Amino acid sequence: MLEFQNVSFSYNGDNWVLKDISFSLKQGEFVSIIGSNGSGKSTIARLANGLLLSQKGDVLLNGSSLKDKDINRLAKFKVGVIFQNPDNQFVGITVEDDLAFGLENMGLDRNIIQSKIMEISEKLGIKSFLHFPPSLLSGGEKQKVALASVLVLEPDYVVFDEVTSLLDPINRKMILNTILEINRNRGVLYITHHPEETVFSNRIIVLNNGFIVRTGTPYEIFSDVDFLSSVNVSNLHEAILSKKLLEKGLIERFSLNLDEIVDQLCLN
Amino acid sequence: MAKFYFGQFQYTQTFFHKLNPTLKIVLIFYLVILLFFLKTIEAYFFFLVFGVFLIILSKLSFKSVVSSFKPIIFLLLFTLFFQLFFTPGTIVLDLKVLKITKEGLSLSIYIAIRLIILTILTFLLTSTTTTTDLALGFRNVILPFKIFKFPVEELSLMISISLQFVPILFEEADRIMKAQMARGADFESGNLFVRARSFLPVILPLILNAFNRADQLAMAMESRGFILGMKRTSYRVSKFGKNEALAIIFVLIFTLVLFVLEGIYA
Repeated sequence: MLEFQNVSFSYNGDNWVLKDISFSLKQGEFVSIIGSNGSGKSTIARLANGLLLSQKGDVLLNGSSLKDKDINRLAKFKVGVIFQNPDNQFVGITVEDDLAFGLENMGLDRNIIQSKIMEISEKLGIKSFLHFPPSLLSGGEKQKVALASVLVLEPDYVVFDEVTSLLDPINRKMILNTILEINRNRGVLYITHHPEETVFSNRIIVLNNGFIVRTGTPYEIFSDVDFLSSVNVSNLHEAILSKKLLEKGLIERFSLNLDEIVDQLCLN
Repeated sequence: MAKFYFGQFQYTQTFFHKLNPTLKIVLIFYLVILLFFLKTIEAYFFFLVFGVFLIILSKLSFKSVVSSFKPIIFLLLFTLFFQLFFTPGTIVLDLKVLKITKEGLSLSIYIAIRLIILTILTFLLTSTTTTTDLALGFRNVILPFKIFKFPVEELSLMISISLQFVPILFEEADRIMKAQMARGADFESGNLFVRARSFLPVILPLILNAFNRADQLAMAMESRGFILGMKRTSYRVSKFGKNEALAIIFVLIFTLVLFVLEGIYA
């Protein structure tokens, strides 16, 4: 389990970017974090695998603190982090070299590295461009490679920090499907600005000014339209529509399902 | 047809392309040193013919060869001018202000051929070797320095990352330029000084973005378990086979012929 226990973090020692954050992520769980710009979302991603260390509280991996040097090292391979811009994550000149980078850091033998690269590239459908420089790939393909370069390390938890924000709707959908697939046996911490990408979550955490202001299921979070707008977080179109129709008395029940909203409208 | 930039890798499967990158770097380096030991014009010409032969053997496009000389034309003319007119010796042509000497004429021919051969050799190396192989080759070349605690792995990783960032920075510069042009920036009018100054709004954001990228890349590297100075394995390995042995023999024979020519014409 990956656990944040009363974590507070400040970059300069004065302004606390995160204040008393507590939550946990189990393997197989999908937890989303939403919040406005500057709410501390990306800092959580960096704390999750020990890139940053909290000044107060602790981040625990299977019960051990990431402040311990050995656990911190282990966390780099057990908790994968994928950032927003894939161009700034590529280390290798070719896709193959980039996939090998983390495995070389693990100190694995060349043959094992090769078999792991083949396995992940086949799984994610990137085998055809293994010998390409990443700069020649499309946005969606680049993000797939960034994903593969982390998944090849076989982490138990993967943190996605606004990975779809630079992608078009088709590529966003493709990446989301891949994420849902890998979620089967891994814990996913999904940080995003897009509410529609969080509807698959087991839980959604809403951040505002460094505080967790609410945690709940997608229905619990998005049904409180006024609350989300008060913390400057965009809501699902269905939620806004449903609330307005409910206020006008055109439907009887709040719903996040468009078909259900239409059915209710037709019945009235 | 796409524009070639100097030393751009050209994908064809020739003997030279398939050669072990480490050996290729060592042999090119050896040929460069050898070039500086030559004294006779005949040996220089033979070396030039050898360089052209290697280009033909590597099936490199003629257009790319021509464009590879563009960046050195100014340097070549500048060097020739100074050697030709400012080398003291026996005057062969007196233009009153400037005098051409026999020694100057001979020295400028030597330097011109030397520069052309150097360009051909560098062009050959980069046009027939992928950036991955170049980085790997360079790593292997400096590997022996590891015993002196020289940071071989770090340096080769740094080179490989820099090479990978080159197209990204070019793209970014182009993007910034277009954005500035859309807001009325003019990069083509005025004298050299004015034009150079007009590039400031491109260079500054480019540098700032490069720092930002470097910071994010460092974080991405660390998040995949990279620690500076830590022992890590290497996925890429260099192979040494029949082709490599042939290349060594070929270069040795070439050296022998050069020395014979030097002996005859010295």
